Amino acid sequence: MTDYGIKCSKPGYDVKTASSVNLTVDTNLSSFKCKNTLFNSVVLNFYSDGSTTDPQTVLTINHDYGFIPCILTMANYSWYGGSDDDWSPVESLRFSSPYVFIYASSNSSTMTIKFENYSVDPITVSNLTLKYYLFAHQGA
Amino acid sequence: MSEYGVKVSLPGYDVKTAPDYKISFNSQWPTLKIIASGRIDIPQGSSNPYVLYSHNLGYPPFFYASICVAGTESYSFGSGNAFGVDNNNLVYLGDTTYSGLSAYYYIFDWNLETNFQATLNSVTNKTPISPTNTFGINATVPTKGITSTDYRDFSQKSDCLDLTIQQSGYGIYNNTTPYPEYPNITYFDPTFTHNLGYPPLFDIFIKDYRVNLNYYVRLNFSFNFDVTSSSTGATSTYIYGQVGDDNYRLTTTYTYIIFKDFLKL
Repeated sequence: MTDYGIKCSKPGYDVKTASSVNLTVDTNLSSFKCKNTLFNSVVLNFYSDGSTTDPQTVLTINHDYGFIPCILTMANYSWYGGSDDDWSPVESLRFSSPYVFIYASSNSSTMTIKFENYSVDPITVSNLTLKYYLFAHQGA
Repeated sequence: MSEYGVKVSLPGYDVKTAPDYKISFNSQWPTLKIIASGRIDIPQGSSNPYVLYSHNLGYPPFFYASICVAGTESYSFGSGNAFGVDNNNLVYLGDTTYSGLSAYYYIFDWNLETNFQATLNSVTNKTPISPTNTFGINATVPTKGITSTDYRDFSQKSDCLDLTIQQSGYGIYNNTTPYPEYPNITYFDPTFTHNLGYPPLFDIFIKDYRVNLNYYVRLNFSFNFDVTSSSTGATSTYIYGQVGDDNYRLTTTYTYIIFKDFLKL
């Protein structure tokens, strides 16, 4: 097959001879991309009693990819008394007092974000801000 | 040097005034290009580390990997288990006593041991000005037709947001800060300043003796730290990583990468 496409090299490299790692763009390789309409941020408010309702689904996002996508979720600390300007991957948001855990998964039609309160004490979550990504690439 | 290249904004944004996190394509900014990807089963009781893929690139590449339920369910990158990378291999470093484990991985054409700084857009127009504007660039990978409706067939598709690299760096951090509750324990606690003005998507990798010092592993809760919890985070001016070290180790080898991506839309 004839080789069509776009290549752009980093400054100082000849695009005709540069190795792939020195190309900013190379359409022979797929870039890691997220469909514009399927990455977004959302603010959540909910209650967890620490027992019967956990883990509880706090957000579902339907997608039309038709395959199981790679996903990534970031969350803001402010709901837990942190700064409104402090964000972490959801896997890093596991606290000891109370002991809570947030995690995300996806099947071929829906992404789900769950919240689990391992402590016996109820917790009211206000202004849990999440940003989620459904990448246009296979994840399972 | 003269400025050459191509720039495309996300639909609805004027490419001349869009902020960097609304640019889907700028030929001056590197994106994550996929070199290899796939799903692999991890046999119960297999050796640790277990090689998922031999990339043999000669440098440690940026990667994403996650445990998945094969053909059924994906989980957020880095969740629950440890993966590592060196100059030749992507490996699984977690518990292999379970049956039915599978992992999905992506290896990208980016050397983790790279110092890089992209240019910044000086404009900050977040408001779409022409929502019906749909100009852009579509390019498929070899053997795939341009009329495909499967986004996986496209190497560039300008109604998608590419993960675009703003900044990266690597080095050795001197763990001179004592852990607050245990003065004799060293503390990996660096911050890496960026000039984006918003909290960005990011990753920090370290080589850690509790997993395997030969491999860079993503710093998060994915493996057990003995003394204290670890954490990572991003603010509008810096990113940070924290972990205590109960082995009195005075240095930690690290790399980090920051993307042009505004977390709070």
